[in-house]
Amino acid sequence: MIDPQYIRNFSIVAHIDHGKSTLADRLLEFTYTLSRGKMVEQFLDMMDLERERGVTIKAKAVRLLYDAEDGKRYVLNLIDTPGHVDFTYEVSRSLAACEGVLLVVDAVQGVEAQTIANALLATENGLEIIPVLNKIDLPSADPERVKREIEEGLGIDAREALLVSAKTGEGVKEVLETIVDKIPQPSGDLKSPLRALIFDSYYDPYRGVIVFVRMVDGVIKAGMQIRTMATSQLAEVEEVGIFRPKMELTSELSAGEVGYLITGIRDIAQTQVGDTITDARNPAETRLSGYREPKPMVFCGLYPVDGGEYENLREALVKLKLNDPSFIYEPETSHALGFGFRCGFLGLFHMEIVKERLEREYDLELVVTAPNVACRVVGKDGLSFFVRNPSDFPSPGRAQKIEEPYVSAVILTPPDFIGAVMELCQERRGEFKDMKYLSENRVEIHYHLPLGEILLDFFNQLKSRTRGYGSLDYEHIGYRESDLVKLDILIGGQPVDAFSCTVDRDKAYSRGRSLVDRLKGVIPRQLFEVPVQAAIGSKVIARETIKARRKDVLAKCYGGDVTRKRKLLERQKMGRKRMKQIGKVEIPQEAFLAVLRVDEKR
Amino acid sequence: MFGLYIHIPFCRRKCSYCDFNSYAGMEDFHVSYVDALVKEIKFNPSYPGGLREVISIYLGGGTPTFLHHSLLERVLCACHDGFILSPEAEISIEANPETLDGETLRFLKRMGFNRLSIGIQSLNDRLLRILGRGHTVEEAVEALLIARKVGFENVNVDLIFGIPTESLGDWMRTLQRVIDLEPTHISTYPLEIYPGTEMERRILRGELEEVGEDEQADMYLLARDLLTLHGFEHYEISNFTRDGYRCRHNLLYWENDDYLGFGAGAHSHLGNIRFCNLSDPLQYVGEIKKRRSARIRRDELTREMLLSETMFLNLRLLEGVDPKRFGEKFGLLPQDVYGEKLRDLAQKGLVNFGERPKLTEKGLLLANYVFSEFL
Repeated sequence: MIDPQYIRNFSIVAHIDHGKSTLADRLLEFTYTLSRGKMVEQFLDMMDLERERGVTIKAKAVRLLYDAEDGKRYVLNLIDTPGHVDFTYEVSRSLAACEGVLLVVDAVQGVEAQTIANALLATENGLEIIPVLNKIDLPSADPERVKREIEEGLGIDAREALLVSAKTGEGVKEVLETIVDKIPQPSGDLKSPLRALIFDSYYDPYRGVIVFVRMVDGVIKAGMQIRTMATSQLAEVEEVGIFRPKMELTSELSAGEVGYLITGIRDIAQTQVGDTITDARNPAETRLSGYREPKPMVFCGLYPVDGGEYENLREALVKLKLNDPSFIYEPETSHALGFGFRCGFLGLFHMEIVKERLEREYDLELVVTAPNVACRVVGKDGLSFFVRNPSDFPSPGRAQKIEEPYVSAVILTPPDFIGAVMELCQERRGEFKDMKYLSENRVEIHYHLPLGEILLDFFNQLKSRTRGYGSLDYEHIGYRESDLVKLDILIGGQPVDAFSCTVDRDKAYSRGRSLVDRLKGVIPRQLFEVPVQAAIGSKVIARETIKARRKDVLAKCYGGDVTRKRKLLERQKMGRKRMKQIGKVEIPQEAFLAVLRVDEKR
Repeated sequence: MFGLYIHIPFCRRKCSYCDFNSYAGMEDFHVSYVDALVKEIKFNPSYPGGLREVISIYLGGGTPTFLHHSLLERVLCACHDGFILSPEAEISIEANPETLDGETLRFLKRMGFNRLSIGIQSLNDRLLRILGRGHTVEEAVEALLIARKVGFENVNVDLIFGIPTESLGDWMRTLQRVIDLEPTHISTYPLEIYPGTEMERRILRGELEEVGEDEQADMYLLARDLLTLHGFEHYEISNFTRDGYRCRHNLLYWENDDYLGFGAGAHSHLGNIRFCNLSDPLQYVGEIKKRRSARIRRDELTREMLLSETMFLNLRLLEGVDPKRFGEKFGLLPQDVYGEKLRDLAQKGLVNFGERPKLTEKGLLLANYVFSEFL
């Protein structure tokens, strides 16, 4: 049992690319948790996908042992958090397990939108915030300016901000000392009945569900009967332990500690992240707070290209859901695509990650329909209901009122791009709220925007219009009335429900035109002519024609190489198989993705 | 009855569109290559004996006529030594116009070559330059005339259409001039852009623009119309002939008959066995020198593969699949095996589904689509 006096639980939060993972690596190295030789670069980013994308998806916890200047040995639990706007929810869960955070800010780039969002989350959770200026080894680092930005933008005292280069290791010791000094020891009662917060979980095919917990009260050890307080699942603890950074068995975990536990639970749905674990024989009275229901805001249809893969897709979704409780799914059928699922995600980026994991880890080929938001429709009868799928959208004149979700968006940019940012927001039906200078070269712009307008290519546009300097964060602010219409796409005269979307009435024409153009570009010629049309109700507003295929013939059967010929033909056949047959038309997967991009011709 | 294919992987220069197994600048290597080739032809351990007559020898490349006369002679002698040749055997050689002077042509004739295939490609100097060919229109025409004079009756002309910047008019002029030269056989292939070629790079850099699908289709149909009008028989998707000079060697491929290949990257097909040699000439020579086989792949074809390949190879011929030969081979008729497929393709207007299944005019242009349906 460790005296809570010597425990510090903390997270590192930062805007993407500000050096969070590198700093984590240095802390591990400095405390001999991981030696440089053994170091897989950026150990905490475990999944391939994360490494490729350079972001972390799953929070992990690692125990560091640090012999401080005061001669005492401290247990520092580093809880890693994801670094993207879509994962605000996951960050909040991890923060609920901490008493303090290192707020890492790039000493060159300065405060960014996620820096602000993360600082706010930390403040809301009542955490001690230690500002850390990273990358001070770079010649263009400007710590004084960045300190001012922190003070003005975040209202945090940055006079004692730590100056660090995670790359060279400079200032890392000071970081550890400050953690010991400034971050409060965990509160909690060893003698109270067990309460442990599930802040993350992970499905391991061999071990079952591995649950990451922050111990709040009491003690947990193998053999105990436990109960999850929200979902009331009973289970026996098989193993408890910590990550250093490899899994290490311990005899118990006590109040204040962070670690993992394995129970007999293999079924995903039984360990709700955010739930509280208690002793089944001596239960606590109240659940821990700090958990909020993840609210998916972005929806899309996921369909297997091959209808026979439906069952596999379902199983994969069930498994993924364990590692990622923030997305939801329910079966749906599409006239065009057959059986599939309507899935809800925290955002577009989140959707991309889930899709890629399904394809990569579960070897599924998927068709993804254009993302949309859930609209609230008030019918003529006054009853309101939510529409998550554009195909369910009421036909013109059948609804009294339609509302769509709005977000309050904060965009940070150098002043040079204020015009470009405002133009983008106006194009996306934004409502200007406020603007303030954080420093002479950093402006915070505040807009209210329909979430649906952010879904389609907003972030890429922001990046390209601000030469990569702009950053974005947003939070949901509820529903507002809008003049939305359903835009249908007809291919070969047949409406393809998977392409339907809801758009602002004023934008329907330009959107219809750009969709039709795009589809013409990505749908290959067929054996016959195929019209592609955009329509509102029964009114066609844009049309293009894909000409019939005319030539598809192989050259010389060269020197009798039938094998090569056969391979070419097989490849061609496979290519066709990977397309989705809709009516008589074969539509490639790219077509469904092409709909995700909006042409902004300006 | 079977044929021999002999690969000569050398050229004076590499054409900009070429992704064949051929190399420029290996002149010092010709002798060792032919040494190996002769060895392979003579001592090939697992060829099915001199039991059957060879009805065709085809020297392809590369540019076989780029080899020194003495080397060509050795290759041909090896064939005579190693195999029983039918007195009517077709003995073909591919040639590029710049390698064909009177002396060479007389030599080839004397050696017993009775079919000459000249890579003329286009009768437009601008287009020849884009293709990176080593000859002019004049040289090409000259080569053909001398060949005729020397006594080659059976001459094929290879043509390419759909070269970047080529118009339908350009193509028509090439065809008309070729018709005037009266070859007995014409092969016309659409230009395909292969990865890794100079042509592909130039297209990716935006220096050249690929000819569109519609234009290529129009060019194909123009060739078909013009050549048939001038008495050529359109007997295979890309091949035309006058006076019954069908290419017997290529017919072996299209009829899915047997052939043995020698040299780097050469392919063989015997019954239900298919194999091929190492394609790198240096490696090929290395293996043969060590008295080892240069074969790298041996596939045993299942009945299903044989069926589908017979279909897609036979369908290249305009007379389509011969039900009698098909029946002899498989004990079933094409409609017994592929009835549903054939009906579906007929409905799409791609195949005529009579006694002999064959491609329609639309089907000729969409042959790949049709073929892939049989896989």
